[in-house]
Amino acid sequence: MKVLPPVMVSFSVTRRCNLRCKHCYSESVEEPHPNELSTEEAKRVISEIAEAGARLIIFDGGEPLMRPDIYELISHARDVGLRPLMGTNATLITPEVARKLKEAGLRALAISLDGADPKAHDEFRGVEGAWEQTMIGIENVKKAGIPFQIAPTLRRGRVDEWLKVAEKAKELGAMAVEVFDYVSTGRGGENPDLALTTEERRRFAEQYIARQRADDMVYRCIAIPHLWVEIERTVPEEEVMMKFVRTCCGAGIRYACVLYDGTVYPCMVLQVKAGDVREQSFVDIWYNSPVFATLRDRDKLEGKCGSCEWRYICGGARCKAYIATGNMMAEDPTCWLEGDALKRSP
Amino acid sequence: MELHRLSEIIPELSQRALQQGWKVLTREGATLEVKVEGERYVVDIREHTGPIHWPSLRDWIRQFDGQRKLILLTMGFFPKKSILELLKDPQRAGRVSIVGMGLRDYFDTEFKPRKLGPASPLLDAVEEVLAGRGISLQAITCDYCSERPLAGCDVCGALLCKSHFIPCPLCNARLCHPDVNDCYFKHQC
Repeated sequence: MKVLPPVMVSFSVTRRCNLRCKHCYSESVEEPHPNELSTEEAKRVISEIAEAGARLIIFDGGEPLMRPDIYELISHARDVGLRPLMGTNATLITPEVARKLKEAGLRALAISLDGADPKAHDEFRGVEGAWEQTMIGIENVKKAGIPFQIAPTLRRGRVDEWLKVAEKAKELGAMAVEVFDYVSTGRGGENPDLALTTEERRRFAEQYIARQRADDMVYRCIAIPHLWVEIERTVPEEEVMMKFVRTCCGAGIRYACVLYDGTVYPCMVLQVKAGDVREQSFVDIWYNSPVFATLRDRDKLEGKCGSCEWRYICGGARCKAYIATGNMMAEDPTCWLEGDALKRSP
Repeated sequence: MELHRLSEIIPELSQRALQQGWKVLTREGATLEVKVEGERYVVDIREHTGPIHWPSLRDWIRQFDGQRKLILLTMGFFPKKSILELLKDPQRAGRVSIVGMGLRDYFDTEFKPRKLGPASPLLDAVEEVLAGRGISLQAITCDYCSERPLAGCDVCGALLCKSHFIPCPLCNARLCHPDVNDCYFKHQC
């Protein structure tokens, strides 16, 4: 099978963070990891990501702005032909920071926002006043002219909150809303009761489809790949279908994640080591890692995912299969599709 | 082929509409307006051969208000660039069907009949009337499969169906899916 270049690569440049989010997949803390990649190592990795053929690089963490050399890394990414993006909580974005990000060549930001008001956000993010700081950061980003999207995380008991956040995102002038499902990995593993129930996830799917139908805002969804099957099944109008962005699992197929210590994962929430950029080049890992090769072979999927006719498109959330069973090719336990829904009409 | 002028099909199409219980609102020369299942459709015909370039197609579409669905037929053809422009606006593409007999100029006698547009009962009727005259419309398809194209690639100009396009996450440009072409990686924005 021909291996295509990655569509995008996340580079979690530090585990340091000023917030204590309940769902943090990288278990971020105040102190940097003792084995964090140096500036020169990080720049080499960025060059290798470009060499692998990627066009987008997402700097995240932790909070990437906690890394003092972040501007140097962004401008290096730009210089080697990548389009640099950043995932941030935006609390550290002063007018000066926003200006430096723009000058370094940052193309867009994904800003975490888990509530349309301070209470819902701060409780989840673990620091009082975080929401207010994020709002100030967003204003600074807007003034600097950097496009941004808003990224809420779904959680149990508050599945409808994302709709309020989506409204807020429109009000703020965001270019997109990227909704993350709660995945019980990293610190998120300490709070598995925050993960949506299957019924809530199904309800979210209905809300998401209705919302995108009615709205010209770009919506994306991470970690609910079977949402795409629901979209294909329930949206008959092809012109309307074109508004939807695919939600399929691209871990190791279109996407990979490099950690602050050089570990390479297929995805930030599928924490199966595919390689280490201190031992191999990223190019070598992307094209030759057995972990990636396994993920790219959808005929290796097991259980319900293995017999599902949508497997070459959806693939199931490999992260959730791995968390539930320790086998990344097992069936996705959060898929609500059954019976005829698993068949693909010609 | 038993067709000298496309407008020859209008009386037959009108008759068929009445048989189907559809309401014929107007019938004037090369134009027919029909109400089908609550939707108003206009069938409009241009007899001349040769290409309908985008400015002409755009003006043709603008002749009618945006509420009505259009089926635009020509003895000529719609060049790919016209189709790509048509597809740039999904709302417009969702209400306009185009049918070309494919004659390149006045002396061309070889029909190459093609169609593009959303499925509709009236388009089916047009197709049946033309089939009765020995003209079988071939669908214009995605450059990578036999599905209906809904977008054009901003890099290479390929016609793309819903399965073979990917939007740029930064600028929403529509591009060939990485599975079929490397336009995503070539795209600059």
